[in-house]
Amino acid sequence: MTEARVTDKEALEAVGEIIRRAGHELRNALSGVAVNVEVVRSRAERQSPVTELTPFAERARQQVGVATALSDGLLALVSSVLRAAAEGTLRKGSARGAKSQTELMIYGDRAAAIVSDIERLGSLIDVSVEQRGERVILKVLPEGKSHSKD
Amino acid sequence: MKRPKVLIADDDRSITEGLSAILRDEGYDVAVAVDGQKALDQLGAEAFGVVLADLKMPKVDGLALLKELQQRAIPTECIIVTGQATVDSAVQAMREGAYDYVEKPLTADKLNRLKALIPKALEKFNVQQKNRELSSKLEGLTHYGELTGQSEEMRGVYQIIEAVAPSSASVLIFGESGTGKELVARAIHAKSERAKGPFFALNCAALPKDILENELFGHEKGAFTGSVNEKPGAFEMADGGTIFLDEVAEMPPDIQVKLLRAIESRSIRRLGGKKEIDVDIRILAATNRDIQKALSENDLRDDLYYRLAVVELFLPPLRERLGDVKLLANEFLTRFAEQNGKPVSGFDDAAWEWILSYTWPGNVRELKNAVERAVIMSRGDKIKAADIMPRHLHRTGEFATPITVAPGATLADTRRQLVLRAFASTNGDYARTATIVGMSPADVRAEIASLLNGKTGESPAPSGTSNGARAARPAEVPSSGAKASKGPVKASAAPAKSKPKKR
Repeated sequence: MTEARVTDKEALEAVGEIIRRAGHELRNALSGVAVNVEVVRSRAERQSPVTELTPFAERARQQVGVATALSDGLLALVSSVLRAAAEGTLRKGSARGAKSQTELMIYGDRAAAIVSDIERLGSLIDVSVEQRGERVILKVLPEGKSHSKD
Repeated sequence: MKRPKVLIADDDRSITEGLSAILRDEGYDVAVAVDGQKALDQLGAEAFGVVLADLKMPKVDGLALLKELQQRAIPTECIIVTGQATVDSAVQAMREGAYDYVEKPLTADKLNRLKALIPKALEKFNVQQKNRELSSKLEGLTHYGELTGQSEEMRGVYQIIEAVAPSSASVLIFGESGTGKELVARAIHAKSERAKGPFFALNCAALPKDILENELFGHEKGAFTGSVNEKPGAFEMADGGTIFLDEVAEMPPDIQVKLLRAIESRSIRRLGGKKEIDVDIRILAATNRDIQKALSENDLRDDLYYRLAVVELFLPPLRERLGDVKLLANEFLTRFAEQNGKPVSGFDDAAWEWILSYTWPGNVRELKNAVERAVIMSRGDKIKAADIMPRHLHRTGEFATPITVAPGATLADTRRQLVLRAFASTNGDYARTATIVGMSPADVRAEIASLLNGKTGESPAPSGTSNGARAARPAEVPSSGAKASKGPVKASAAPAKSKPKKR
């Protein structure tokens, strides 16, 4: 196997981890939607007062927002990664510092656009997204550190 | 009728709020814990028929929660909710004793399944709860929190716990290792108004000084080389709850000073921190040391001792509550047989006699480990004496260490020790015991029977372990001549009964 291909494989493994996390959060968000919609549905059926419905409708709506951000971000990430892989501008980074963190780099002049597309996704799944010149750097952080679920 | 209680353990508020609304509408009394540790604290404090636990949670995850529930034998039925798409974790959860599992996302049909599962799990819980109640009624008060025992001594302990728990007084628990000091601390926490708060146990002897200090008080970012993150210590994390400091007399002196300061000012400062952080903590501590000695040798500061020992609680060693040995042994047997899937139903007569005559220097923990090992090793449905005996006594011939006989011991005492030793060494074989000591099998039986009935004779015990009747100059006693061909028999000192029984 050539060196380039090893790099590709490692880079794709990092992408896989990001997608796994996004999938997990997406399932959580959809659970949030489903559960809260169910409260609204069953309470509406029993003609409960509106005040007993609205907080749940609001929470469901908010979770739809989270799910949307996750799926939009995921689509943007996948298309950017596929494009970079095709163009040969995808790299597995070697992170400096004490811990060996998984780092993924996408080169190219679209860096700013990519960052704005996947920034929100990153914040939801403990992946830091930053731009350095013509480079997007994705760092897969330890889980459960940055996002607050509420 | 009382509404059945369900606990939801999940760190995702959008799910817990919705789910609790659904379950409340279904008629359940619902509580929420935001992580596995909080769930454990709540389950230790009050009974929940069913727990819905997310597999992935901070601190203690779903699987660890299941394990801990098993280990502490906390009665509840656990339904695992998993966001992982893999079946592995679900299978593992079932293996760890989960009632069932449901996969996320919790769509309408999954929710319906969950709603159908809960009453079934509750029914299972209720049936088992009834059994537990029935058996405990038969025996009087046998359990208190996670403590087991129906002896006078243990009831005394329960009474003290009951009395001190509601206050916020510090309690210093004395007891040999293996007597259940942490369980007492947990019971005090669970019966207190802090029961909903966290319970944090730290072993002061197990940790090096720097780590112990860090564990207790936490540190700020950059407090020392390599501290890239800030970390709250036990005092902060247990805010509103209880800290249990085990082996407190082993705590290094300068940490004792800091601890004293924290107790007095009700605030702490992290390592490298400037800010005083207010904390609301109840402190329970324990030691297996002779406290007067620890104080006179300056291992424990006097001022700290007075702070910690507002109430002192003495936990009796197992040999002083022989009445509980049978109860504990049976309970461990049932638990481990179930955990290991072994069809073991009890102990045979010789095993019982051995269990009841051994002094259990390692206390309840030793008994527990011995029963666990016996269950694992056993073949057949009854545990035999050979299965339950500690390995160092596990010989078929003579014992290596001598029996010691105190000056002033009676012939009856000495004979009793010899019989016991021989009895243990033959794995409870009356006939062979009789041959070894040169008595009739009937006399051996009578001797063992009198031991088990608590008629231990008139004089103080010869190899007294706790009552101070230790021999100044132990005399070795050769056995009777029956086995003289093998040379003088020196019997070891282990399973000698040392005190008249209290029952």
